Amino acid sequence: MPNKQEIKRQISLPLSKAVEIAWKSIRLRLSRSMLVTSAIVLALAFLCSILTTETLINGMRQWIQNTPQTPEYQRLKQVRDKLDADLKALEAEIRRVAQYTKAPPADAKPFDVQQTFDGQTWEDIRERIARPLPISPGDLNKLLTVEPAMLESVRLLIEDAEKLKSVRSELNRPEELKAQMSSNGVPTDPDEIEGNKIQTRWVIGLALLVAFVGILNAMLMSVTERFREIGTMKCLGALNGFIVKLFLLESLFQGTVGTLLGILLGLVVSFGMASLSYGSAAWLNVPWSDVGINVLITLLVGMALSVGGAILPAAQAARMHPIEAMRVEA
Amino acid sequence: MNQTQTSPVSNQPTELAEYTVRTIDVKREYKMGTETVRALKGVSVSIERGEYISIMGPSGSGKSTFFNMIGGLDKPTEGKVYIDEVDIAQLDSYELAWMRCRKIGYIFQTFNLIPVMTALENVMLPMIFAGMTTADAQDKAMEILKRVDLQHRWKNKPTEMSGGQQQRVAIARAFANDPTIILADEPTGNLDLNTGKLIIELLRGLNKEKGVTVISATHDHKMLAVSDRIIWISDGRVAKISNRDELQIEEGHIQGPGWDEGKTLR
Ligand SMILES: Nc1ncnc2c1ncn2[C@@H]1O[C@H](COP(=O)(O)OP(=O)(O)O)[C@@H](O)[C@H]1O
Ligand SMILES: [Mg+2]
Repeated sequence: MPNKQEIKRQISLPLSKAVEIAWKSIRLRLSRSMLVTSAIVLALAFLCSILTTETLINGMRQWIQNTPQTPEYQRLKQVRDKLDADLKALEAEIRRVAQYTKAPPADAKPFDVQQTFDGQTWEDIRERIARPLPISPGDLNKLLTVEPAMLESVRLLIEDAEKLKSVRSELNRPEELKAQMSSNGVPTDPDEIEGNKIQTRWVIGLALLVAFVGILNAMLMSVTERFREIGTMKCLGALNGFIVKLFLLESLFQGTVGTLLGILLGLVVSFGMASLSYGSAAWLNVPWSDVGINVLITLLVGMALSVGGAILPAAQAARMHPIEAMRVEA
Repeated sequence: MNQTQTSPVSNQPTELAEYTVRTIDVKREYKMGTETVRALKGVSVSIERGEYISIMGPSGSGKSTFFNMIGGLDKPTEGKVYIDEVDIAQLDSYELAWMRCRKIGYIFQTFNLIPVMTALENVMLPMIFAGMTTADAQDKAMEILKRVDLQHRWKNKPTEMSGGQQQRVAIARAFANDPTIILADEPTGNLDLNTGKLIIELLRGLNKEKGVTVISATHDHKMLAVSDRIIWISDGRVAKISNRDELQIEEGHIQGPGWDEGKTLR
């Protein structure tokens, strides 16, 4: 008589088999479970954009702090001082010459400002260089009618004043950005930054919770949907461990795809928002390595959450009785 | 039997004429809150190797519950179930899985093919679970698909096949690891009459060819003609067991000793 020895123990399949089957399953289901995937995408996009926005703001803060110490900034300061001195000298010269200028002869052709400066009046020029003219427009006209050689000095004055204007605005940029950030409610003082960090952590925690619940719910749904399939697999000889692996891997695939999409969306949103708020200043000092770390963190978190969220449903699936497969629902 | 092979039953040396399935006073109760449903009230049957058994009985009589017992899918509340003379209550989960994988082939009313897999992949799955390499499993699965006349549909997903075709794939899958027992719970329940007949004939053919024991529950008495024995279950008990030669099967009627003359079965 045959005895119990005849019954052997079922072998455990290599992980690669589970990977193969899970991949097949998820490829087909991915589009169907778009709703689920989109929950993962949104949750991780939220996480990624919060992390990245924080990084971008830190980058800007650092830029505000570091820029005045750079040699370039120091050089610009010297350029500003030199231009300032040059301008003062030029203005003094123009005033001095104007003082001694006689009235123009009656037959002299009066100086035409608009013809000389591309249609601009002295008023326009004064606005352009953001600086008062050294003498009144009338006096300038008189001076240049009598002493055409002075036109060279006036041109130099305009040129230097324009340069000074751009150098000044360049030097002002850190202060301007700081003011802009403050007006957006982003703290720039060290104490305030600390408080803000705690707040950010809460928001990140919330994002993680949302992602976790989303994935847990998705996997529970996936298990309920597939009672029959799981039961059938068990009837065909699948071990509990295999079912667990199958679900964990499926969740991992789905989670990874969702997370990658989420990261993409998160980056677009955070860079887009920063660009809208600060224009090109947002791109002045992007800490790319930190952005890379954020991407990596989000990816790891997404993968960990998708596996973590699937453990419970997978265990539930594996514990299921194969008779579920036989049950005929009306 | 019109096969060139001799019946596997008579092939068995007498000293090895063990029962493939044997149940002793199997009872199964379901507790539903305070109520207890007694689905099986003591069933004892012995089924020999190579037999084709039909289990008949009205809906709710306990056929599926009985299937779950002898398929190792559920444990009896009381009583013993032996598969190849092994008490399955003593098996651990690994041994049970091994048995489900190699010894028993299951066929379901709802086909239960894995929706994301092709016909070929569905047939391969039990072989993969049994540790066969993909290449070997592919060859063998293709052979079996040929046997059920579906080799040309190997690439198709279940949704791309008719019910009859799906059930043929399911039969091919049940035979994947050369089981000794095929359990079919209302295999024709979701099929029209003619397709159902083809399925039953296919099962009968395989039963003779491979000497595999087939145990099939059916509502449809027209499917009983192929059976070696019929086990009538009613209200959780075996009402009677009839041999084929004791039966006289007619359209819509079954007549046999101990069964009401001319009683229409539904
Ligand atoms: N899981 C279960 N829980 C409670 N009652 C059940 C369960 N499965 C079957 N039953 C009950 O057991 C009886 C037999 O059911 P079943 O074996 O499915 O009958 P059949 O397959 O002959 O139609 C029925 O009364 C049914 O309601
Ligand atoms: Mg039933």
